[in-house]
Amino acid sequence: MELSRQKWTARALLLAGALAGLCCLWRLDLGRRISTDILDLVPRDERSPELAIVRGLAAQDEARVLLLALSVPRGASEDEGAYEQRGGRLAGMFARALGRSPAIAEALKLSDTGPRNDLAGAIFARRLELLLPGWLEARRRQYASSGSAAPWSAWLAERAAADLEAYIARPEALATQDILTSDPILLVPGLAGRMAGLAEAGAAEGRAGDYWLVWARSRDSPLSDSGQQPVFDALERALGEVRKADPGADLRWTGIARFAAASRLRIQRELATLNLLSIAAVALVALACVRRAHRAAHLAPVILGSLLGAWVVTAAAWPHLHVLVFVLGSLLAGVAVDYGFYLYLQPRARPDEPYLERAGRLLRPLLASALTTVIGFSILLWSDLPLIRQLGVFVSAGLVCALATAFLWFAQIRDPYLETRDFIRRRFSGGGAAGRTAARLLLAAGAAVALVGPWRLQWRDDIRELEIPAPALKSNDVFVRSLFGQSPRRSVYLTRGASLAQARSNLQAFIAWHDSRFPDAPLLSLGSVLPSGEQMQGLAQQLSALSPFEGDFRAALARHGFEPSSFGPFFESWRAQLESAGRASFANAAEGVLASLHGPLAALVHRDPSLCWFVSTAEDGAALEPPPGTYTVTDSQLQNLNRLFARYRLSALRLSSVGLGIVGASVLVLYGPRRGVRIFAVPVGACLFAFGLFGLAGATLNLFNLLGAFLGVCLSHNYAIFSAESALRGEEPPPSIRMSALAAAASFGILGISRIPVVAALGSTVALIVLSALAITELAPMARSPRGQSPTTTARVKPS
Amino acid sequence: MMRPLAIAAFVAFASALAAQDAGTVLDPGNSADWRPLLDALAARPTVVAPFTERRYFTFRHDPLVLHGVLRISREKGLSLQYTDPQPSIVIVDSAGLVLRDADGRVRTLPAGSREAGSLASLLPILRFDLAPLYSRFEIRGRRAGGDWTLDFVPRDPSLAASLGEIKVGGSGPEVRRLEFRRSAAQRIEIDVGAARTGQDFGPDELKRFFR
Repeated sequence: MELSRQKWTARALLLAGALAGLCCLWRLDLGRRISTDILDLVPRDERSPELAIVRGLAAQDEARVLLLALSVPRGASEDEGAYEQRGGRLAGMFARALGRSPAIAEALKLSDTGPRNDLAGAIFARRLELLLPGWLEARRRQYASSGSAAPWSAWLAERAAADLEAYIARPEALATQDILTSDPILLVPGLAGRMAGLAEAGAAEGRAGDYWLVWARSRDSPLSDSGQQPVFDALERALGEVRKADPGADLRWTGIARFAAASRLRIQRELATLNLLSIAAVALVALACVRRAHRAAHLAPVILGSLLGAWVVTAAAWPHLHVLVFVLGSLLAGVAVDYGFYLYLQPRARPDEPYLERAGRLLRPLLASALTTVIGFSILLWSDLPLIRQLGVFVSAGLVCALATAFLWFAQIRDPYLETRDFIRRRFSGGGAAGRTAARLLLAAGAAVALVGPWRLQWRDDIRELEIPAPALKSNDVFVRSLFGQSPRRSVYLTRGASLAQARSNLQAFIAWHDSRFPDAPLLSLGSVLPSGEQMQGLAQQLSALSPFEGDFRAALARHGFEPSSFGPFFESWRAQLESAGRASFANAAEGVLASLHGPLAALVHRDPSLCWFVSTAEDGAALEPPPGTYTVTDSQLQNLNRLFARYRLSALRLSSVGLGIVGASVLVLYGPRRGVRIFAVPVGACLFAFGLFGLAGATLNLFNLLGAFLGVCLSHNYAIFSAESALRGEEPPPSIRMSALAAAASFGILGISRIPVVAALGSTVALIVLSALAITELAPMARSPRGQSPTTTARVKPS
Repeated sequence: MMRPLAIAAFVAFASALAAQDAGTVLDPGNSADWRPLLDALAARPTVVAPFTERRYFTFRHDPLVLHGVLRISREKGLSLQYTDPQPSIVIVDSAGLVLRDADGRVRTLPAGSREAGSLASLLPILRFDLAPLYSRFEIRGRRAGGDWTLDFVPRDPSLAASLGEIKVGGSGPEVRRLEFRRSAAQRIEIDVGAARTGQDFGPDELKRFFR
């Protein structure tokens, strides 16, 4: 092809590609497609129960809760009573001001007894329906074990009257005496005793030291824009109103919105910083290794073309992309520049060798290395995790675009050859036998590490490592939650079921397990207010045996000094219960109670058509995970999702193995079995060495180390191919291998310092593998016997 | 003609008697006369006294009678050790209430909760530091010779309905009687026996009877 025509054709194609890419990117409106919601990293159709609960928690009101602690400075001569009144008044003012904001759905002082009173009222109104089945069941067991000869009804009446007499001697009776005429069998006081901790969990007095506690719920999801800044503004305005009354008032608060907003900001900054630093690191390597450094600028279009192509293809393929794809995508800079190195640094065979001829010599190794990597990454399309699928497409598309851009860019510049500095081309002389021995010892030591270390590896995934840790926000969160009564010893459990009745039945199994493991730490759960399905079914039969109970109970009350006529309200309810027994259903019993839940108590139970759960708490400081048969998870299991991610890790391992198999098979086909095995041994050896080093260092690896290893293997596989190609031609390995490895190590080393733990894991793994591969390619020729040491002294090897 | 006048005079006399019986409303401005007595009551670092409590319920013929030992520590709060009919301990301190039953079960109620109710109010009252109480209670005082009575009526009507009125009576620097009164049929009377004051509590006693 005529040179000028070749140049203009390349320029036209480059321009057309760039314009088309930019146009697509603009039309795709990337800003709207990028998500920072961590749950977007997991498939929408994921069936894992833990994840379904996490999604439910994120979607339900609980995620919108804001815990607010208003501090009010104490006046110099202010007495406690006046201070308490003033603090309470200011907290009320704050809650009202907050409640007026359209961004806030509900705001109330924690001391507001409305939610608790409404729940208590609903339970009291249905006390026989809800609590009688469990009460009768427990008493029946006691009757059976007592061996009493008295009839069941008479025994029960005597026991209930004795319990009532004992109860009124207790201090709690002073507060509940008004309801005892309606509830002499102590259904509600008994429940209040069991559930006391639940009421205290909300710091019922609404005050902790100098902080007055306010509970609020935002109208929109904390993961959306409208659930963040408008909420922050509403808080500012409400605090401003309080400060008009008391300028010293201040606010400490926590909520998912705060974490989500901070996370988004930090990830955006991380994205910009990592990409810039990564490109700068690659540029620095290039500048250090080439003469006429300004000409290294010709490598930039290769990187830019690669990134543009990757962004366009990935954004076009998915309507929602997690921002982490772009953070990890910055690794492309270190990979894409390889093709620029290989083309730009390849010396001419003769001074007048045309570009196309020179590029033609590189076509086979370039295509071999690029296409095997693309095939390998394309395998990730079969991953269960959207993030991995997106990353596979991002890297594959980026590499194809990098190769195309490199071919076209260097076809249209005047001098498409960049001379490297001497040091990057200089080969180690080997130092004779001593050098050979040293190289062999190093390779042997590396092999030992590769064989022993990987067995010591520990694997663990934690979804929280996908985000940048925020210690200040976390410690603020712990502080505010402690004001609201939460402590590290308090465990939170979620017991699920496909329906409320099933969840209640599972809760029964969980309560039994928990009571056996932690007998001194009673479990508190709103679910225990509801009768189980089995109890409801047995109620009709229980009541049919208690027709004489009213008479027996009246007599027993009189014997214990009570006036039976005072308990008319109870006997009316009892008779109504006898008449309706058998018609009561679990759903009816539950509905009345659940409909009364609002405010902080609404989080104690979750209902939707396919998944329901009850929240339970216990001061057990438990590190135990409940057995699967209880259908219960702890909140810490939900926070890390390790079990779920372990499954994804296995899936990624399978896919990586398939991808590696394909890469290896491609090499064997292209280079024959003997040479193919030697080529493939370099990346595999480097990978095993890196894992061995991690294992010996006691590191705990995760899914992203595995992905990094896959990428590292693909990259180092390129070095092995180019080294083998040079050996085939009887030439020294090209300097582009060293530059490529150093650029990749620099680029991924930058990712290794990321504050996002998984990004750091991926970066450090790739950097270690490419450096190991470079070391192997350098040491292997030195370790060989003198006969085959230097390619220049051996006969040219025919390509297979 | 004489009869209406006599009735009017009787009504006026009865009203005056009732007003006299209602005592003086105390506030920070007019409690100086009470200061020496209150200071003497408040100055006792510790008090230990037996008590007999009678609980009157609307649904019982006779009051329920309980016996026990009352302990007051200026630092630690108030402790009621019930010994009969069933042993239990109630501790009232600035953090709220602690209930310990004979089986060792412990239940805590935060200060200000409804269940803590009237018992929680006892602590500031028995410290006889009236200043923080003026804002929450209307306080009336009556004296007859060495005997005295202080009535505390919650200013918040809903609190008054649930707590009722608290009466503290005594003779000289001794508390003799406490009463929580919601109505004639619903009240608690506590007769306090001879008190020992100023005797420090040992570590075991503090651990057992206070938080």
